[in-house]
Amino acid sequence: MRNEMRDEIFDEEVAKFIKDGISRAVEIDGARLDRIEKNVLEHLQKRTQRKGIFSWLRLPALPTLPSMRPAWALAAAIAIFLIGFLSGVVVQNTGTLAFNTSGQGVLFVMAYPEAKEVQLAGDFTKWDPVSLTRDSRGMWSTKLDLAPGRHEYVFIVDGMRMVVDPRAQEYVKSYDHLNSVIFVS
Amino acid sequence: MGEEGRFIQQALDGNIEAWGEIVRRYKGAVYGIALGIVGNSADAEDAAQDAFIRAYENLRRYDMERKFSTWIFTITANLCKNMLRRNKFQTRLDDSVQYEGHAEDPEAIIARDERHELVQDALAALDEKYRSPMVLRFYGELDYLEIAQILDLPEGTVKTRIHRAKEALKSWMVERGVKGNA
Repeated sequence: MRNEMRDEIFDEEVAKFIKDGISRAVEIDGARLDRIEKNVLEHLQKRTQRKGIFSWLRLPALPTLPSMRPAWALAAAIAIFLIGFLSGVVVQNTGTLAFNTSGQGVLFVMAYPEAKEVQLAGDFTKWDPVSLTRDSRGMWSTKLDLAPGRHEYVFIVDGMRMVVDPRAQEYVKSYDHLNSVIFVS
Repeated sequence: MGEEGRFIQQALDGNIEAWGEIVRRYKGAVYGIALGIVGNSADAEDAAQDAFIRAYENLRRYDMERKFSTWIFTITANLCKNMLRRNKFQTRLDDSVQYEGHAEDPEAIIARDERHELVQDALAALDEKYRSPMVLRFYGELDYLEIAQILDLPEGTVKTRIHRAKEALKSWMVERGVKGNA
């Protein structure tokens, strides 16, 4: 009996069952569809506002990075962090530092003796890179007046590589890289 | 170049409004595919949103000679697959959550008479490897070759999976007294 019934359900019925069912669900969820459109466009608008650094770096390759599985993305983030962290630990006193000098501005220091140029870009520079000054030991630094609050930033080495600050207070994922975060009191 | 191609070209030039037009055209299809694969509205909304953002960010990788729908559905299917994997992992971590399988009374199911809920129940009974091809085939109305490209599988595997899934769904429908053209 069951097999007879089963045979009556033709492939077309399965197809129709799925098509109609999902179509109906999509129809019911109209509000979600509107929200998807709104959120996507808002996200991309914000991204454009922060585009300064990307256009300056001339990195058309950035949007073409392959999407990673979450596990790989996490592994990559940890690897980036460790590379930055080790560069700060292995070479004495040449790690990246960013601290508030009590009302005298925030001093950003980056050790990169082999670099030809080191820059800093953050929300406080409207993501326009600012050049750091090199001393005889290969320490790059700049002092900036930052408004109190939370700020995101990256270091840019030789105009190509975005480097995290291993001593930052936080890290946030921003598209395909990590931003460092500093809280200024 | 068709109208869609022009919008994509404008989006490549940084015109977000043009991308908005693409989102408007495809949001239903992308959301529907995501819903069929992940099985719940909230995750489907996240997946669809993410798909459109990633597609825009990776637009330079899109080959204008190929169908845009195939490309955006590929991104969607991959995001859904990752999402299911992540959710499975999180569920495993959460010991307090216990799921018990129990057979629902067929009459009660029919009484709900909500075709969209029934489909989600039916698809949930299938493994993801069967669910994705079924959704792409019967909701997305794609051919085997396109599905094979999207899921990165041999065409023969897609055919086999769809055939097996169809048989499983038929049994499911019979057991619950569901007819496709009801």
